[in-house]
Amino acid sequence: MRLRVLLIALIILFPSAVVTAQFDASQFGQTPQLAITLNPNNPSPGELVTASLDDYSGGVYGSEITWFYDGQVISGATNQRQIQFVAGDAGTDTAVEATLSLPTGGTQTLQEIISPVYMDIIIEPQTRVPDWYAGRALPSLGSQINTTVLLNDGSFIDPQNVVYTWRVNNKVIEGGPIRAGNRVAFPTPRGGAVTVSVTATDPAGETIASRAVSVGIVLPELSFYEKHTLYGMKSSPITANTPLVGSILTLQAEPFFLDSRVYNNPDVAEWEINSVSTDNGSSNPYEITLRSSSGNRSTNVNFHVRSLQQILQGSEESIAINF
Amino acid sequence: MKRTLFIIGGVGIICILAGVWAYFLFFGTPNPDGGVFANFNLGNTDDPSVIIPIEPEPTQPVVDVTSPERLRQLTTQPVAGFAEVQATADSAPEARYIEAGTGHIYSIDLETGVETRISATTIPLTNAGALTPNGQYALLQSGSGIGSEHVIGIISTTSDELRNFAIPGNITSFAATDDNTFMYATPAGNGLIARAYDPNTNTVEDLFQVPFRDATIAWGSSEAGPHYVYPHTTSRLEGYVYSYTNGVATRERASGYGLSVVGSSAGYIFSAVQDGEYNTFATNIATSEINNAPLTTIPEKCIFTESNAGVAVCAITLEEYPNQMPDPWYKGEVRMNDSLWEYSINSQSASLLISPENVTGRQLNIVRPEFGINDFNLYFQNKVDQTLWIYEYKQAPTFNRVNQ
Repeated sequence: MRLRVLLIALIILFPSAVVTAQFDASQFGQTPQLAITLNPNNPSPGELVTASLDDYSGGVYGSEITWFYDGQVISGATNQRQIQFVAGDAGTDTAVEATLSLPTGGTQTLQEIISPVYMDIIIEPQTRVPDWYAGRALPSLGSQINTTVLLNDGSFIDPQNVVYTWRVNNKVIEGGPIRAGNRVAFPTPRGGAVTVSVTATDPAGETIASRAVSVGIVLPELSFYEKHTLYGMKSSPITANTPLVGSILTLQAEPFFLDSRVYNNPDVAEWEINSVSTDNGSSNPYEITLRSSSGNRSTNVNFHVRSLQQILQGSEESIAINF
Repeated sequence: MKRTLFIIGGVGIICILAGVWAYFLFFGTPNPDGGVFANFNLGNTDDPSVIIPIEPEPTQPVVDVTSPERLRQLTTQPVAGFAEVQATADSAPEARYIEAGTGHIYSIDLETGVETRISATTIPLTNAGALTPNGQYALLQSGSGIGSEHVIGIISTTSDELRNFAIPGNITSFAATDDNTFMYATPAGNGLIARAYDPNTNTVEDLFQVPFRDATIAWGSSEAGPHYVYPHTTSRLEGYVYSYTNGVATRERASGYGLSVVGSSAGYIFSAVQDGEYNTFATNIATSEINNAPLTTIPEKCIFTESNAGVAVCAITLEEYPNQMPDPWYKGEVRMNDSLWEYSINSQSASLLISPENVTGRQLNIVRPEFGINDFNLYFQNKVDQTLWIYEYKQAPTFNRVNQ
């Protein structure tokens, strides 16, 4: 009887003993999580960083916490689980340390090294802006966006030694991570904005920096400018209030942010004068010369440019010209 | 009516006419200013009901370069480029400019105000240019975009002919240095390469490389720099600032939407949209401090002085700037009414130099400010009509001003 009871007890207890052993991490050499985590993980120079003490083992309980930044005690941060500081200059390595004075005696020190790196994502949309315009082109639906990422840790980091993973709206492009691929081009997707993110790692897989930017998508905009034979285009657009001198006017239609490919080869480029389709009589489809006729001093001029393949790649605008 | 009344009235009229005729016959004398019959010698009138026609103001403002005012308009025609030139150490400085459209080069004697055309060689569609401070060379841009051409002109002292030759390749930006050379940027691969051309020796030297194409270069006054480089500005995309000194690039601690910058060896002024507002900041390189500037401006409207790298003169419009800036200003949709302010990035103080509207009655939208020799004169253009203006920043004791 005693033997039977013992056997039944062994059968019941043995599996649970095995299961308990499976979760005893210390037998497999894993130490409990006690570490400093940084947010953001890879800060830029001058960026505000939050350092948190993560303790999943309860080992901090009752300990006195002292924080150090670059070897100096951070005043007012004693016994705080979280501190904030500003990352240093590019190319500098700075230690953030937390020293735990354990209630059982002894100390434990945790450390993270901050190596700030600039990660600049330069967006170069391939859309039309006039040569005199000092601003940058903006992306419109379907147009190509050239993107370059520059890493700088005090000097430009050679992209040959970096692996880049690009995502557009959270979808990896270029088929996956690419070494030396600090430059990509992709078409502007639908929507009001596109999110471009890039992660840069060293060849061993250690993250150097990671960033995402949101890029607003615009519709092409049409403006009219007066073009002088000698001086070229005026720097201010013509409006209904613009005084015009003389009886002859050369108008230049400027479709800002139109896909450069559509601008160079538009399917539709049509001028209308007082609602009548008109041949502009010029090899330049964006230019028309008007002459005022006596008795009719106000003229309504309309210009329409569009791609028939990408219907949102286009713009149409009218203006009343008062000679 | 009776017939008698008609006869009496007719005789009366005949008598009056005969009296007038007799008066002019005996007393009227020919008036050289007008016809005799237009002058009845009735005397001057102060009758307020009399409407005296007012001659319309000329559409082109009258230019008087020798005016005692410190702010003066130098040209009535659009200008493509300009510089203050001193041919020799003993000669008086003169203002030179390149006429837009023709490429003709003019010289203005700042003492007498006499304007001389020193180059009559026409380079059609000239819209940008630079002149060396010794007055010997010019770099002119003709046309725009892919079809633009750039020529080096050698200014003759004996004739009004400009010997010129084209620089091959596409040039996106250029400037002259204090050392009488030209710096320019040209596309190379996916970026730009900045070069220096010495017209004296006809040699080209690489200065630095920019790893992207859509770059604006705020050129320094020497080949060594610092030159400040940033992606073309827009309020819809983020920009970053890089400085190049002796060919070495440094990422500056400035970034943001709508970012543009102007700088010197002591620091730089940048504007960007932060927290939804377009604001101006100044970085002092020596202290690494970044401060909010006391006034908001578009950095392209500022220039640092040569004599004090911590002091800049900025054209400032005292209005709240929309957070879409500077895009609408680039497009020409926003006009400004600028005043000139002196701004020290060391003391973070700004003081008003002059308000063109108060002095001249005209509103100026100031662009391309440039100092002359020893910072005596500040030159700039009005964006609206591209005319050239001068402001006497320092009183120059060596100048003998006329009409003073």
